[in-house]
Amino acid sequence: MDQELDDLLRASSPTLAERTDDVQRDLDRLVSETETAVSLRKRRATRRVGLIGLAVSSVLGLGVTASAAGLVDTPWTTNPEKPFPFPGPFLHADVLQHVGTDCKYVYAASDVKDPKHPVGKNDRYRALEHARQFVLDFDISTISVPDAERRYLIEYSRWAASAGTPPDVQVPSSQLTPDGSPDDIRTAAVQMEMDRRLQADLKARGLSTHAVTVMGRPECENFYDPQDLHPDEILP
Amino acid sequence: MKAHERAAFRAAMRNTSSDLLAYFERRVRSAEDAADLLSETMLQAWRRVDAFPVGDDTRQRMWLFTIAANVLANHSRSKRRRTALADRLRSSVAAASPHPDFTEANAVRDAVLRLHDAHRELVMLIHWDGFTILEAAHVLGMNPSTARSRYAAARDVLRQTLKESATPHSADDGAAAPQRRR
Repeated sequence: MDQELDDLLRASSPTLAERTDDVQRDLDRLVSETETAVSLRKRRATRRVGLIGLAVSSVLGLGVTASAAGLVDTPWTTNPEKPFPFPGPFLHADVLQHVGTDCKYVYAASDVKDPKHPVGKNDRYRALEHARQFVLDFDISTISVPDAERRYLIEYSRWAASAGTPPDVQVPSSQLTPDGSPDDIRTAAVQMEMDRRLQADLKARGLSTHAVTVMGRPECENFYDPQDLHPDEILP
Repeated sequence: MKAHERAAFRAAMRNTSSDLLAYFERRVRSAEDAADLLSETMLQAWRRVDAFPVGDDTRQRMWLFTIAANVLANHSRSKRRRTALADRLRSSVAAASPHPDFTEANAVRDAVLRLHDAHRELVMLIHWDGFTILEAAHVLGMNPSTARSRYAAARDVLRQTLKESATPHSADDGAAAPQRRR
């Protein structure tokens, strides 16, 4: 009877959806998209902006070492975990490829304070006002994403070589890449390129290049943040 | 989390995703709901990634199924949230779902589903999802000896139920039986 019962019970399992190629492909996609979505949401505008801030500092000649040592007083270098204001206006960009159409990446200009290059209140205000409009009007299609990504990875490697390997990157320095998804790299690369052009524009107009930078963060509709769940929910 | 740990976590998610989907398919009404619950399980897993047991495939699988069990437990008492992440999987699973079957297995399945809550999930984990008693106890957060005694009790109930259903019915009962099976 025991063996018979075992057989009956095994056979009683509800019939499952066939694991077609479509189902298997969508399962794999769900795994990778969940990682990307969670990664984007968790990071918000902290670490990635920090990396970009460092890379951009290098481009601007502020000095990677100074930035890495926290001498450039930016929200991300003083306290990467502390949320900081991210005021608009925002440029909503379709640069994400791996988290579906419900997510967009938004960019905005934000002011930064560099003790090595103090900027007066009026100059800061003029630079910030111009930068906000510059970002809002920015045409993302003018950026070659592959070129921007190459440039970003080079800057990242330079930063990593001089400031040390981030703790969660365990690869030889010759293969060093940011610990991020393709969307992480893409959004960061676009952000860096926008900042590069913003600084060039500010310089051409005689405005301060030490007062503002471009920041970015993901915004997702119809997608809840696991961080927002009530503690009573889900946790084993 | 180090890069190799992240890679191990990703691999575990990939290797277990089909079984996790099956786990939900066996317990909820629609394939679409199963897809949503799988998506929620993955989000929860990423949220707790720091607790992921690195280096032991069985423990990793248990860890993911424990999260799935909790997601399922919350499914009935919390508002269901559909995520865009599961859109494609929801569609493809629904398209690949079989039509309801009317085989003899239905009677056994009905008997399983009529078991007491504390017994039913054990039987389903062991016979439908392929876990050992110890693994099932782990997924349910249950003491192994408690799991053994409950499982034995569940088998007794099932034996009795199936024995009764195998008893010849009167003419009236016989007419009613197919309707009970749908």
